[in-house]
Amino acid sequence: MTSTLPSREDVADRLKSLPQVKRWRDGNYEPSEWFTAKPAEEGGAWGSWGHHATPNRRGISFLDLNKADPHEIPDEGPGLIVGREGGADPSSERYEYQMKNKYEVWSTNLESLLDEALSRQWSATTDLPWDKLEPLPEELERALCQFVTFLHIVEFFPTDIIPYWMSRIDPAFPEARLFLATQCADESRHMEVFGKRLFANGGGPGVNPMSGFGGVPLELTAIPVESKAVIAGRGPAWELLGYSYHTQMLGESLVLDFFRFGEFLGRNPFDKEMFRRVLQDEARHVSYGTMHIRYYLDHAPKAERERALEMIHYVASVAEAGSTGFDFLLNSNIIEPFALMAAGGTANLDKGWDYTREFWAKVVEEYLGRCERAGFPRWDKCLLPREVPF
Amino acid sequence: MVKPQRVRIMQQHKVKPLPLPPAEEIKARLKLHPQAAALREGKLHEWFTVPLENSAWSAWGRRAKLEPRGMTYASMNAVSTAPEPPETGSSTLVLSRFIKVKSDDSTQTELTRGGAPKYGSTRELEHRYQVWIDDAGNLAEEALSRQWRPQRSMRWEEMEPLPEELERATDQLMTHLISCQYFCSDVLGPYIGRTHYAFVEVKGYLAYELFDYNLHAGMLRKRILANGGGMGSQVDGYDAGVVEVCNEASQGFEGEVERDFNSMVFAMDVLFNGIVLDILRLAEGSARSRFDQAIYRQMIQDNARHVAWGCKRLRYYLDHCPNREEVVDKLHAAADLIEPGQTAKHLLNPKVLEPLAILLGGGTAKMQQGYAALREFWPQIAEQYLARLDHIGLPRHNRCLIPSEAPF
Repeated sequence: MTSTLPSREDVADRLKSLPQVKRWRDGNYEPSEWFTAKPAEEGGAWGSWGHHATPNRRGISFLDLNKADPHEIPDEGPGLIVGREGGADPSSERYEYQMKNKYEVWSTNLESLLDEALSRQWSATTDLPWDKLEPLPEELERALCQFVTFLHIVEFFPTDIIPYWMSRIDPAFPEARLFLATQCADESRHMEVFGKRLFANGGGPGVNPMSGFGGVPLELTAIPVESKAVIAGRGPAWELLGYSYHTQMLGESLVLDFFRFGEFLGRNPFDKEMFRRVLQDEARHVSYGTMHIRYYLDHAPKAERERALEMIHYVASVAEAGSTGFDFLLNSNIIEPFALMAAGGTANLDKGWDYTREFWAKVVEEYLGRCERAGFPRWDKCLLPREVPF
Repeated sequence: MVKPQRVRIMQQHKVKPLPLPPAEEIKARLKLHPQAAALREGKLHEWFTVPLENSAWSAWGRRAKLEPRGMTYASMNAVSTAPEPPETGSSTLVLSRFIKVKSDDSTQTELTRGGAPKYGSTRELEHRYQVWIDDAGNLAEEALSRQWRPQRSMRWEEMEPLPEELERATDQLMTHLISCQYFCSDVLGPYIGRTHYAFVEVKGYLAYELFDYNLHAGMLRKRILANGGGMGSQVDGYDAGVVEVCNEASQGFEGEVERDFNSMVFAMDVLFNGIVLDILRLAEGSARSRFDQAIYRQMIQDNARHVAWGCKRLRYYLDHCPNREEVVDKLHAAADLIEPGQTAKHLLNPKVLEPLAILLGGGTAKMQQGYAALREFWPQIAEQYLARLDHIGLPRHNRCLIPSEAPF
């Protein structure tokens, strides 16, 4: 950054010579054009006028706000840096936001998910009954901590990436930006709460869960390495739709199923409450991902819809047969502690494995149901076997 | 003419499908997955068989003590084997510092072989001096525990209809503040994914700061659209100087280049948010209903935390970075650019200052009184900014280009 440093006197003189400052110095305090500008729908630089929304017992929800708004949410953002229905001078610059179409970011349940997300924020430090945490038998504490070690690691991943898309969304769709921000806060809190749980009951972090994926010899690799690289390279350079499928709909839905299980099998009031809270958050993310895909496929122009559909099926095939689906469900550092928790102890491990097999079938069934709801049924395409391979 | 996004951000690309083998072939290979064979044995593997002492299990038997306010990072760090982050994070992309990685871990080996590139990943900000602050855990917890829960804490029944000119001034000011929140969110967000997992407390804090900006924008929007008025007019150029420094610092998050997180922190958290904080204080003082006042008060609380984070961060940076003189020069150069730009196009912008004057005076007929109040307040803007810079260790008393007296 190079700059020629003006003197303080120069700067002060320049400021005093600004037209509005001259006007004020002359004692002319009449407000400028913004104060009398007509609303945009009448061709003026003011945004809009005459909005009313009636608060109820819980305030004003985004759902109510948008219902009360006589203006439709536009299909395309105008490229202003102000929120939807904001006005601008005719000379104001417009910006090409990378995500300017409603179908790229919206979902039919977006406002209600957002309202729920805002009302259900919680604190890992203060909002959980840490005093109700009870000592567990050694092998169960070990299983829980190994499982939670995995969750502590993976939960923050979305927050590393989602902000890129937030910045790309035209501010005409503040609901989408804000919902994604709630997900970032949720995931951060999850990383925090699982980290704290690791140390709260005498267990501590377990082995690196990522080492449990196991090495698959090249000759047995189901998916060509080029396609594996496509998935491994997912990140902020991907389109949001691909990410919504891969992470919000597939990855997080698998984790959601684990949370359901965790709540069910929590051995003390604290663990149950922890998983219950996290589950609620995670369910919102999965729901947005699923219904966002649906909205995209229902509203994108025909050619884009066809491309998007082909892309999602491709990503789905690679992910199901790869590290997000099949490999993940076979990770010994995740699935074994899961089985042990289900068993209640090594003495009943067979029972735990039976439960895990049922769990697998249920996970696949629920995932296929979500694909159907999202508008890309995979009943005959899914590469995740419905029957457990062990 | 339509321009590229004002805050530069890497382009997203469509995912291009590649040919895949027939589904039956893939399914047949999945059946041979070695992990499935291992699980069929029904045994428990390494995680269960390694000893609990002196192994990957790094803290077995140590129990964090519950504090009166709950379970804190401090409690956790008191029993962890990694209470302090390292000077440089490990060459892994995803593991927090609490997870112990064995030297023969196959994933670790793969990562160090080249699977953990520095650029574009969480390794970009991998040095402690780049991101850490003292007592980071406390700040992250405060950010979460003091997080605004509008549906619980706002008394919407205290929202009052205002005379049209006051409603219009309020809406214009709030519309502007919404843009400020979006701007901060856009500038900050992508750095979270460039921050190493050795510094989880900082990553967490940044996520909560990101959330605050968006929450504020949403709350202001509700207020604007609920009370008879509507969205006002965009303030062009309010980010003068700041956006240039931030874009140069981030390089649009593209390419294998060093990014300057701390110039962004200076420009956005300390300088820009410092100015927004002053505007919020004026707004709170001029608010025409208790409800509006409560909105600004809450924003002030959150915004003050963001400014405080920025100051702590830069102080730590200047105290620990290996090239202090170079950094000081760079930050001064950024300030030289931003200060006059922010004064001319933000603080003295008619779309920002006039609504404040109307509200402070109590109407257009009393704007003179509003300007008098603004003149009286103005010296605090430079004073508080300079006090922050003193705290950081970047004194600018003889160099600051924000006038100490109102220019009007």
